[in-house]
Amino acid sequence: MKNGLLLIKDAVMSLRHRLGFVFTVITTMGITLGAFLCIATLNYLLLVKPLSYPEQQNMFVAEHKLLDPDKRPRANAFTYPGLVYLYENQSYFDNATIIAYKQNVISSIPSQPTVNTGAVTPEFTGMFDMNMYMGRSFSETEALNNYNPVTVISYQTWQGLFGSDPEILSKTLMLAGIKYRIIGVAAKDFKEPQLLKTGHETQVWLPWDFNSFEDAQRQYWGNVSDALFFVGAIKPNTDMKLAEQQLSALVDSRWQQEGIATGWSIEIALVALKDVIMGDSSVMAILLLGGVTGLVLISCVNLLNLFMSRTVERQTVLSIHAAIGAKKSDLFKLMFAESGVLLGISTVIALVIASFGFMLLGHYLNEVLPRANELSLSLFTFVIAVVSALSLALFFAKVGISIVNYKKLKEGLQSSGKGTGVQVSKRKRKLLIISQVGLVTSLVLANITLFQLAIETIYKDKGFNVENKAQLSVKTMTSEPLSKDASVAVMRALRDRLEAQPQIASVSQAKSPVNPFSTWAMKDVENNARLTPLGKKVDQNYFAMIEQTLVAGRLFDSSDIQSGAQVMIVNEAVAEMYGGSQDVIGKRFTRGSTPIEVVGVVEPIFLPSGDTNTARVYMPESQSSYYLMLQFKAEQLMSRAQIASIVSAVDSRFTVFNFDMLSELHTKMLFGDITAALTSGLLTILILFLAAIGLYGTLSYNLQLRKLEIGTRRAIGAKKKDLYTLMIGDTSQPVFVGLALGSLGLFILWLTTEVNSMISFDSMTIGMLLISVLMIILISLFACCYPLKRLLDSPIIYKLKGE
Amino acid sequence: MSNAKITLKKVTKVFEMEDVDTHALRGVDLVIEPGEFVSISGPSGCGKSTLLSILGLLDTATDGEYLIEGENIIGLSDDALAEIRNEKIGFIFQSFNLIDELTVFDNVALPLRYGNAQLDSKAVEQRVNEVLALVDMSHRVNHKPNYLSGGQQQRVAIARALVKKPAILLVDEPTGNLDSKSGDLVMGLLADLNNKGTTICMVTHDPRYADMAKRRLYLLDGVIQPAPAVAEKVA
Repeated sequence: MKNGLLLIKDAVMSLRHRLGFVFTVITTMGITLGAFLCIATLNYLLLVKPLSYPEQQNMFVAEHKLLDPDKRPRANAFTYPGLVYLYENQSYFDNATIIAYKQNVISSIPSQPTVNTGAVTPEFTGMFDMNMYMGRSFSETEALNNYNPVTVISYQTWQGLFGSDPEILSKTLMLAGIKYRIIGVAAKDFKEPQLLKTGHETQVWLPWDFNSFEDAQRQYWGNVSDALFFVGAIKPNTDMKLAEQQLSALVDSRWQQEGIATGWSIEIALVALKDVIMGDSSVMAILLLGGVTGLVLISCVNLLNLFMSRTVERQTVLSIHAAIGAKKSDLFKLMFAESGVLLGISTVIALVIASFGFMLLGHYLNEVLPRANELSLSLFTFVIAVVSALSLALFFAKVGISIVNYKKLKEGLQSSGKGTGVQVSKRKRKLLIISQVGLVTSLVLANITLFQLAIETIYKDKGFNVENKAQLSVKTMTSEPLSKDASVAVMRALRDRLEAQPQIASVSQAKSPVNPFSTWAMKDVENNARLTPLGKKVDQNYFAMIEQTLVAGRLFDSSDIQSGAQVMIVNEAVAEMYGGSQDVIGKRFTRGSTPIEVVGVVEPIFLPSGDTNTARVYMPESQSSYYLMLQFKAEQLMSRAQIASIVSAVDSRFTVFNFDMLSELHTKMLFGDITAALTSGLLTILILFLAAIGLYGTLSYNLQLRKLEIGTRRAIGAKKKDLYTLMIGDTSQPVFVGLALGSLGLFILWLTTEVNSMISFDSMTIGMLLISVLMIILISLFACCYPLKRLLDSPIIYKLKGE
Repeated sequence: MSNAKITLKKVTKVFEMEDVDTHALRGVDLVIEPGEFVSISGPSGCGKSTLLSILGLLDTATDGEYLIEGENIIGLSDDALAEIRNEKIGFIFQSFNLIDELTVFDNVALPLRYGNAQLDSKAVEQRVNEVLALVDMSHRVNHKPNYLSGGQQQRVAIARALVKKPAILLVDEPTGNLDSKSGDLVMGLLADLNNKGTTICMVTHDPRYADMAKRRLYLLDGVIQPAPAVAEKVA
């Protein structure tokens, strides 16, 4: 123990004089180990760690599959009555709950925010361990058909929408014309099961009876909804196959009584709750783990060189130790103490970086990675950190001792300190440079290509303008829907009122281009050929507002909208299918039975989820649509509250459902590409940084071994220029071989996989690739010249003495 | 103007450490005339190697003047010093310092490649063969140093030192890594060269070889003392 402390003290004292080496090692290992710990913990959370629910190992989600006559699944979602029927009649689950997700507007708050609601049966509370921050959760008084209008809000909703009001339990909130008494605030650490989608957070919980399904939907067995879920804790020792068969028979026999579709049937599948929540994220997690493990490996190779350089540098010290009786194992302990101290410091930094990474993942990738909000430093993280640090410290010490020739080391002191007790062959050194440059080249080029792909998508011309535009949708707060005529009247009045606002330049009654298009089944009237373009209904102001250019024919006019004319505008992709922009005008298609005539052709638009060749068609929007686009005058935006007051002034039964700027919606659509650009960009920088360290290590080690040679050459008259030429010449060969091998490997990958359909080598791509290659060459040049400069700046005699 | 090959005036060398300054040379005055064979000896740490490093322009003096063939080298650039080392100084090291990856021929030819006046390959070959013949190593011209004995390596090193016909040969413990037979052969070769007119300054602590020099100097605590003082001291 005492010896161990002395070794550590000696290591610290020795490292104090090599701050550059220390900085490089702890920066490299700190960053890469930090990333590794972060992703390893994520993998543990997703693949190994149980869910935090009491009966999680027995909890299953029942999936409701609609099978066609050939027994092929056509839908995987519940009908409302099917779900309730299963809940009321099943006997395989000790505990079961049903859940209906929806969005709604809290009209009792002045800002009328849209919130995520979840209607649940009382079992939900116990099954998902819904502890309360204050008040109570649902109980038997909120069981099915009790119609008790109470609500539980999430901790975040209590903080954000109710200003952490301590008197909240005496308050109410209004949703869709119904007043709910707030009976509880869920605990801050309550983790709801993310069944609807990853990252979904329910803000307001309601008793099942108050889900937003209308009466007609509650009775109809023909409609399915993907917002309905059944979760149950299966009884012990249940035969799962038998349970599935009997539950399927239970629901199917009831469904068949309704006679919805002849030959079709229902099948119930039981899927573990954890699998449903994880989805296919485990693949992504494993890929990420592979990526960071690769980074750790690159770092290890790089540091390997630095540690070898360090061993060469310390050979006089090692010789002295050997001369006074240190065995090889004692020399190993010396090296292990030093690598241990360095890895210890690196691990502390890695843990800080990992916890920062947890915050970033939880904040930015909450909607991509399940349970990302559960990430935190855990026992697992600490164990992995300690094991990794110890393994790496041992590895570096082992490599260090492996290049020590103990016999020659002992002789080193006798031959005036110029011994060759620590050596790695020239061939090995060249191979190290080739492998490093090759690996870095392929990784950097691959990342740069991905970066460029993402950047291209982000900055690609959209074909429409989103500046100063907003999407507004309104909603009635009545329990019964309005008639079409009443809706038309309200929407007309709302449009007029909005157009009269000084901040608003124009209004269009349509869903914006960044709102999803629908797939329309159409037929060519001439030959009955099928066409399934993406379709959207728009009014006469739509194209002008978003600045989508007309290519041929005409745009819609107000009479088209008022009369609901059977006309349509197609984009150039559709026009191309029918002989071009002029030829498609006048062509007729059916959607249902009535023929629809093409009256205009517009330029294509580009959305991140599609491409410019996507066939899109547009038809006149109904005047009763609750969707509006607003064009604001420059720097005169309006808030949601301002819009909400206008809406309620027009008709108090209406409220704002959604109000979002198009630019923000478009940026959200680009989330994947922005993440890809950031990730690949950061990875490129990290790899170049690691490459710089690695090459510096290798080349400086190379130089350490050639110190005597350099000194001799200088002693016999070599000028600095001669030595730079010599070293650059010697280094350039393996560097260029590495560059060629790395590029070749990537090129073969490009040729032999589907990647070639994604990447085209235009001038921009080639330019970026050339810049990357240039960067690698410059890094190699720096790594070659900088240590040489330091060497040349010291008196020649030191080199000849091997100092 | 003096004809001296080397002139040192009041040369000092101080190594500055964190808490103590070490005076390796204390005002050394030294003149080496053409054709001289000077040996410098003294106990360990007396400053022999430091003096030789300064003479060979491998290190710089802290103070004083240094002239080679009348040219003051103080304040010259690194490249100018490299040129002087290449043109006027031949260095022979205790551990030979041959480059393992180069053949005997290439090792000897190396100084010719660094000079300002570049010779054509034929001239290089001729000159290298001349000096290799001088040291009796023509038969190992294509060998790598690793395959030579210590004595042979030192002879190749001497050939390399002579290849540019330097004004002076600086020799650092030339027999330190050799057995006595090889040592004798090398010293015989140096004596021959001196007899043919080569100026030599040799550091050694072997009194037998020191006696082979025409002038013997003794260095003690960084100060040059005349050789008789040595005898008195030893006595």
